[in-house]
Parts: sequence; structure tokens; C-alpha cells
Amino acid sequence: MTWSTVKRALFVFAALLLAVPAAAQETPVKGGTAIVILGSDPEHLNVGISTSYPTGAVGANIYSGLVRSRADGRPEGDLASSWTVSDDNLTYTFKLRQANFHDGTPVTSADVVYSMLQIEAPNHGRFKTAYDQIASIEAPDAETVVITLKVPYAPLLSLLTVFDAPVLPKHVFEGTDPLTNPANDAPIGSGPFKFASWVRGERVEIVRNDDYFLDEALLDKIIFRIVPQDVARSTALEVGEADLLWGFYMPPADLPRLASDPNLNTWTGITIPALYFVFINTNTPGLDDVRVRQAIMYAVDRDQVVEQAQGGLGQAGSGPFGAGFAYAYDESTDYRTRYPFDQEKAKALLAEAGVSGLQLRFVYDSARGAFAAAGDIMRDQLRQVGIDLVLQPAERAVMVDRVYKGDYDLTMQSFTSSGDPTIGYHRIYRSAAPGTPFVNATGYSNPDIDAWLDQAGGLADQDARAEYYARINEVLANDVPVMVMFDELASEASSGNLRGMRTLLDQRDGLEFLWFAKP
Amino acid sequence: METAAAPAAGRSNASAAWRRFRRSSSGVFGLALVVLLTLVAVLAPVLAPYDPHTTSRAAFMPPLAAGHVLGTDNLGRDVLSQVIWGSRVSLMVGLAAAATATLIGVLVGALAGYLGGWFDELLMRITEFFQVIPRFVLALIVVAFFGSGLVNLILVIGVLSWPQTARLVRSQYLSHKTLPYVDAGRALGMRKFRIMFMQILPNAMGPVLVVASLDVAQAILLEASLGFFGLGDPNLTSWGGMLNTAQTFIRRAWWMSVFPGFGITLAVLGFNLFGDGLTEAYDPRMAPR
Repeated sequence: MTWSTVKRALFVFAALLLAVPAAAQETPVKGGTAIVILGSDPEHLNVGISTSYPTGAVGANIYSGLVRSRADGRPEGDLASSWTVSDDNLTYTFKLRQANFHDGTPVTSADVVYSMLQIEAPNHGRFKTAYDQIASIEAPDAETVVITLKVPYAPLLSLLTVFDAPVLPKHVFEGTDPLTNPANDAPIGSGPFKFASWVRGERVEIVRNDDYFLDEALLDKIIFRIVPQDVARSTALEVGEADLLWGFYMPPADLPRLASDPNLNTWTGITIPALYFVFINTNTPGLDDVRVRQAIMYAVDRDQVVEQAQGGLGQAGSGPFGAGFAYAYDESTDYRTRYPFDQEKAKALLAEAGVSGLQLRFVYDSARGAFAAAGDIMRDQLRQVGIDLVLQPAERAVMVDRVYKGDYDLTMQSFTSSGDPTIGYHRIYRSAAPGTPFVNATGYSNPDIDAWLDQAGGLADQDARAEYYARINEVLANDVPVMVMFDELASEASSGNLRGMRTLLDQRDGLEFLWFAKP
Repeated sequence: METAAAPAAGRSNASAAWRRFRRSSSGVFGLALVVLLTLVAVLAPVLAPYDPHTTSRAAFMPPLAAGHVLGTDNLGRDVLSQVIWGSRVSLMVGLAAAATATLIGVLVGALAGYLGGWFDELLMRITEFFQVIPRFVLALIVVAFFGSGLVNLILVIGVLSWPQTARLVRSQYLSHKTLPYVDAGRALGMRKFRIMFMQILPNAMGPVLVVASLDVAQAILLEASLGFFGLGDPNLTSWGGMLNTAQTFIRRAWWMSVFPGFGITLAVLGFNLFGDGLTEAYDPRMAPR
């Protein structure tokens, strides 16, 4: 009996202890179909090339990563049965479980290496950032994967989940362009559910994988229903046409009403810190002047945005990395004290910069009601200081294309941290070439920031990390290429008899744990 | 059809029409609503107590609270001022779209009706094609694809609304082109286009105006529907856009939806009744009894 099996046995025992009180009341039952609401159609279903929310929602339940994160953030084996870390924190050795892809082909270490090197490193917004820290990814035998780092890198394990490093079938992707492979629309993974069908703009259906290597899914089928209208989403839940609505797609104004519905359960809290922010395109004439960007910071009342656009489900932006990570937050540069709502100050800065009659385009995803409301507030408040904001809502795919090609002046976005600022937030500030979705689109590039981000991300020791974040915070508080609007409070609403949500860290993950209690 | 009256379509005819219009009480009421709407739209900057885009922390104030006669919306904007400014978009889109539709409709109808033959066949098949398109669905798609600026809205609604006018104009031309005054014009060697647009058109305009005024009402409704589905121009205050925002809060702030809804109702009612009055004025036999 190896040490890792002992640990696993202990863990299983502890998990059983924790599970007993719930199990005494209700025993999970198999069967049934749950309808989960998505606000927009996924562009495709390949989580390996996109950090898009709807793609992740479907893809995470079809594919597997090496590890997965429990609700409390603890990593545990997904495709990896166990792993060891060398004493110098540079080499991670993973042992794979016996698992098959949905087409029956066994999952081997070659699939893991191929996915990471050929598909995710060049194409995945978050994995790309992490890959800069990795010296090599190798497969000494069919069941072993060895990842060697250049420098110690704290968040590596949380980057090996299905959202950042899904294991894709090499035999399907080899020799093709991963961005256009037809399997992106009809994925073959090794996860708890198999892809069944996709009616564009309407629904994606996935069914239980009876050959799954871990906890077999309880539900027979999950239907992701695409409901672009904010209001229709809450209504679908209220009339029983859907079972689960995540905060990402929830009209914040509806939450109090859903909470008072006796047939529904609602929940609010923080799962994974997430930021809502406004990219300021530093290539736009006028916005290249730091004083103009600072003026925008002063001109917008972010508390009003939280209160009215987000229905209070947030906390006004405090810094480049939000308030969710103590080591990355710095009181001395807190935006709430550094940039209070002060339109006179904004006007003075604009006058000093010699900018007048500035007209800016505000590009946002038309499916996100909170963005539209934030745009209305910003348009009004910027107008008070003499900046004319033109709202340009766009369908999500169009919005993504425009923003990441730099065809915007201001744009509102929301990024999840994925459990570590290194994964989720560094890409907002690190220099990036235009064209890659979901990375820095402001055109802001500062070699110091890039270097400090790398340093901060390599240290496991949080006090040491904090020093670098303090430096970064100070520079960014002055340069403000990004107006951090607020830290999000997550929410969720579900049918009264749906159980098993949020077993894993990301709300979208672990849908195999969902089940329906008998009424 | 009295052949003698046709060539004399002039002042006396119009004043007779006005006399008949005045006798239609619903027509006069419609006209009053249209005039009221026009005044509100033109005088919006004077009439509105607040700027319609100005937000404040005082959201969801009920009507009559703190100087807001019709209350405030979810972002603290004054509802009365938004309703007043919203009339501009409705009226502008309504009139411009109806004008576009009438222009296309008259052109197509006149050419088809007067020239006849295979050309008529072709134009009528095209007209039928446009007639059977589900207008709202196509407008949704076009606006979603090309953006929802005012000009786009006007063009989309206009281009989707002309078939009725075209068919009507064609039928007018079919009956007029055999009348003696047209024969006379031809005998005098007038050019085709002169006969079509200088001679026949003035005599065919009555029914066209009726349809145009009903088109305005339809266009206002279509614009509001697009706005309601979130496809209006977010940079303009429109009744449809207000309703779109209001639907989220319908149980919390009824005033956000009731007043713009009221505006749409009055505008549509106004142009419809006005159209009824025109029908009565130009063709008493067709007037509703």
C-alpha cells in the first residue's frame, strides 16, 4: 500500500463522514433530465481553445482535465490518479487512470502532451500565460506525464483542470488545425457526459457516459437551453421550464424575486473571485494620455454601477486584481480611495490633457443586461465631464472579434480568476499581441509589469508574492489601462428539487453530481 | 368611376375632401392626437423637466415622488422626460419609414400598373415576395446583423412595408390608364413618365395617403417591438427601449412600463384614426359606418 493510496483512503473516509448528515436525509437517485440555461450560444464546444463561458459550461462536462478542484478549492485527481512534486517544486509527475474517450479509444499520456503542447499552449487564453512558465511536458510512458517548470509556479495544479488544460483526443486532432476541426462542434472527450446534439441558437444536449472512470453521472441527460433574453431566463425557471440558472446569466434585478419563490432555491456567495472591468483602448487618440484614463476613473460612480446595474451583487473595484486575493490587494492603492467619484477632478484632468469633444465607442455583449445598464450610467456620467459615449451592443461573437482586434474605445468585460490571479487576471495586464481572445486588449504594454507578473506568479509564498503585487498595483493605479468596475458576488437559482450543485469549485463543473430529489 | 371628375383633381376636390374629413369625428380625434404627438416631439427640449439620460441614485421612485411626475426608472432617470423624448424616435421612424415605403410602393405600383406586360408580372411577383415575408422576423434579423441605428431602423421598416402601397397604386393605374384624360395626354404626345407621374399620380394619391397614414402607425408599432426586444438604438430614448428595460422590473415598478406603453397606444391610435378619417374624405363609399 503506497502512501498516496493511504491518503486517498483517508480522504474517502473523511468525505464519507462529511456526506453522512446529508445522506441521512436524502439519498441521491439516478435518472432524469436537467435543463440548464445559457445566455448565448457557445461559439464551439472546445474548451481547449477558448475561455468562453458557454463553451466552458458544456465542454467541462464532456472533457476531463488532469485534476479538478473541489468546492473549497482543494485539487484532486481527475484523469490523474495521483501525482508527486519534486523537492525543488519544479517537476510534477502525474499517473493517469484507466480511462476511455467517448469513441472507445483509451486516454494515454500522448493525448495529454499533445493537447497541452499543440492545442492549448498556442490557443488558450489562460493556458498560454501559464505555458510561459513551463520548460517541458513529457510522456515517459503511456500512463505518466511529467511537467517540468522553468521556475516554481504556484498555481500550476489549478491550471490543469478541464477549463484550462482539457485532455483532447490526439487521434482526432492530429494533423488538423485545432481552430477549425469539426470535433469542436461535436466533441469527443472522456468526461461524465457525452455530446448528443446541438441545435445552434437553441440547445445543446449531453447524455450520461456509462463508461466514465470516476463518479458516474446521476442524471441521464442535461439540456443546455440558450435563452438570449435576460428576463426570459428567470421566467423559464419560475414556470418550471428550466432547472438551473447561474449568476453569470442572471438578471441581477430578478434575484430577490427568485429568492422569494417557494419552488426555487437561490444562493449567493463567492466561489471563484471574478472581476467586471472596462478595457480602455490605449491606442485610441486621447486615451493614450494617462490623464484622460484617470479622468474616466474619477468620472464614473462605480458604487452606482454596482447598486443599479449589478443589483448590489458586487463590491466596487478596489484594484487591478480585485479584493478576492489578500496578497494581491493593496490598501494604499485602493481605487475606492485613490479614485473617488469626483467629476470636478475629472474635468480638471481632461483640461490639463487638452482633450475636449472626445467621442468614445462603448462595445459590449448585447446579451448582458448589466453591461447595458452600466453603459447607460457611464454614458451619463462621462457626458457630465464632456466625453460623449456611444453605446455599441453587439452579439457575443461579433463583440469578441471586435474587442480583441482592438476595434473599440471602451468595452466592458468580466473575467474569472479561475482561483488564482496568475491564471485569470495576469492576462488582463500582460503585454499581448492583438487578435487573441480574452487577453489584454488595451494595447497597454509595460515590460516592468510583465516581469513582475511573472515573478509574482512563480512564488508559492504569499508574502513574497504580495511584494510584487504591491509594485504592480502602484504602477497600474497610476496608468489605469483598465477601469476595474467591481468584484462579483456569484449567485445561482435552481429548481427546488435539484441537488448536488457546486460540488466542484466552478459552478459549471461537476454536473455529474446533479440529481433530482423526489418531491 | 366618374370619368369627368378625374382630370380636375385640384383645389375644389381637396376642399371637398377636407369637408368630408371634418365630418368624421374619429378622424378629427386622430388628427388631434397626431398634432399633439408632433407638438410633444418638436417641443421635447422645452417640455421635458429633466434630461432623459441623466441617471441618479434615486432609482424606482414612484410617480409624483420628489418632483418626478411619472416616477424614475431603474437608473434613476425621469420617466416623464423619457416618454416625452421617446415620442421623437417614434414619430421620426414612423414618418420616415412610411415615406420610404410610400416612395417605393408608388414607384413599383406605377411602373407595374402603367407599363403592364411581363414587367408588371415581374414586379408583382417581387411585391408578393415582400408581402409574404414575415416582416417582424426579418426586421429582427436585419437589425441584429447591421446594427440598430435610426437610419437602419427606418430603412428596414420602410423596405418591408411597401407592398400594400404598390398593389394599391397598381390598381389605380390600371383603372386610370384607360380613362379619356390619359388617352388625351397620349394623343398629345406626352412622354410615358410625364403621364405616369404628372397626370395620373395626383389623381391616385388619395388612397395612397390613407395607406401611408396606416403605415406610419404600423411603423411606430414595429419600431417599438424591435426596441422591446432590445434591438432599438440604445443611444436614443425610445418607447420600445423603455419597455425593454421595464420588463425586468414590471412587478417592482409598474410606472416604467405603463407610461411608454400609453405613448405607443396613443400614437398608433392617432395615426389609425387619422387614416380612417382620410378614407372617409377621399372615398366616402369605403368609410366605416
